[in-house]
Amino acid sequence: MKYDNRELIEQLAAQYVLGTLRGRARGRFERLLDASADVQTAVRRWEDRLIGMAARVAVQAPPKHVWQGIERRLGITAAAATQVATPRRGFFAELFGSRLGLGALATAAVFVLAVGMLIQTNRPAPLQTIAVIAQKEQGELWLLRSTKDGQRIVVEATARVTPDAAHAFELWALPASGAAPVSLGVLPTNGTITLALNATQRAALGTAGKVAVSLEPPGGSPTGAPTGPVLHVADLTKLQAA
Amino acid sequence: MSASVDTMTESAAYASEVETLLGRCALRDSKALNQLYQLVAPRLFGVLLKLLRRRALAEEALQDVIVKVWQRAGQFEAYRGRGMAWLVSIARNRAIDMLRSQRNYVSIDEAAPADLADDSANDAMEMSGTDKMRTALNRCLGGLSDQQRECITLAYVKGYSHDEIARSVGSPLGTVKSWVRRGLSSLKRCLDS
Repeated sequence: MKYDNRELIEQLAAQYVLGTLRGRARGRFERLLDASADVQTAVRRWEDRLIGMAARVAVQAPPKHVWQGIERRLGITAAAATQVATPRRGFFAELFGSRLGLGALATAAVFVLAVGMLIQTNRPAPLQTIAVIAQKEQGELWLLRSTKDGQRIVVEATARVTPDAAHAFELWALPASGAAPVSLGVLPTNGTITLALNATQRAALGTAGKVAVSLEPPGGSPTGAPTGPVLHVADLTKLQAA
Repeated sequence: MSASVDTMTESAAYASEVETLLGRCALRDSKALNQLYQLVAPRLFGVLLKLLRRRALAEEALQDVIVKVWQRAGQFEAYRGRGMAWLVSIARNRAIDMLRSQRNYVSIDEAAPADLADDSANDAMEMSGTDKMRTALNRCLGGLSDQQRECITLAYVKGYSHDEIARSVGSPLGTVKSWVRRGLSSLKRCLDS
């Protein structure tokens, strides 16, 4: 299909925004959209023309867990989300004291940058997501987040975890060397728990490329090695230096 | 009418708040993302529910949308002066992508009876500073034939494909495609004049 025809682009943009451009044609048009400023303009104009129809749809409050899921996926925390970044007076006084010679524009730019920096630095160090244990059919099951020092792992079970009174789900670090898995603890079936790691566990996690979950008797493996089937394996993300 | 003046003012404040918060999201301010979410999530969730019909899907889509908004908040040019239109577009595109892969499993019959009328007539909170555009759109939709208007509304609000519209209104596919195409060009002529 040729896209150099202005009228054709206009029609495709209209049908794209309306939603009636479907199938492979939609994918092709999206590639064109990425590449062409003219097409982006045509699409934006149609989005603006039709936006009034969205205003006619009744508002619906989403359930609370939707926001919690967003926090999880972005690795931001409720604490960070509710904390107000408070400027430090001393810092600002110093900043403006030393920048008085600059023009108003430059000062404004510095101010914006400074606010950006403050927002970054005043936030408590967030936990870093190190692994997401998920299953294709069920989606995310557990989220593993680590403190920056690697001393503790915060494990959160999503609502998709099905509790099993007859078994425990045990978490293992799988060393990249192929050495024996090291147990990191038993996973919760609901809510969030914190696993404090000992030196052996920290060392194993530090060199591991993956974690695994095995099905064990209640309380966890009696032998110190996985005894039941491995249910999940997930990649580990290396801790970033704070 | 003072009521409509109030609505206009509230609407302009709403639009400006949305854009301010988007700008702060570009600075990686997660508090701003939370505030933006409080402000726009009910609106976006309403749109997503209408399109996807199943709550679980709409919840998943809303998460995807907000994650995407956080990632793209630095694209000031894309949303300057049209924050809510930008947000709704991200939401609708996500929903349509989900429909493209899910429609096979979700039958149209699962949908609630067609309720395409203004279901938020008393809703004071407008989408953005687009009141004039909304009024114009309503006027221009009113100028379409009944069939054109119904087809376009089914597509936009419910995410129906041409095929689904044809089945829903009981008309041949070719006729429906022509209603949609002509309806869109009439809308454009009317809105741009």
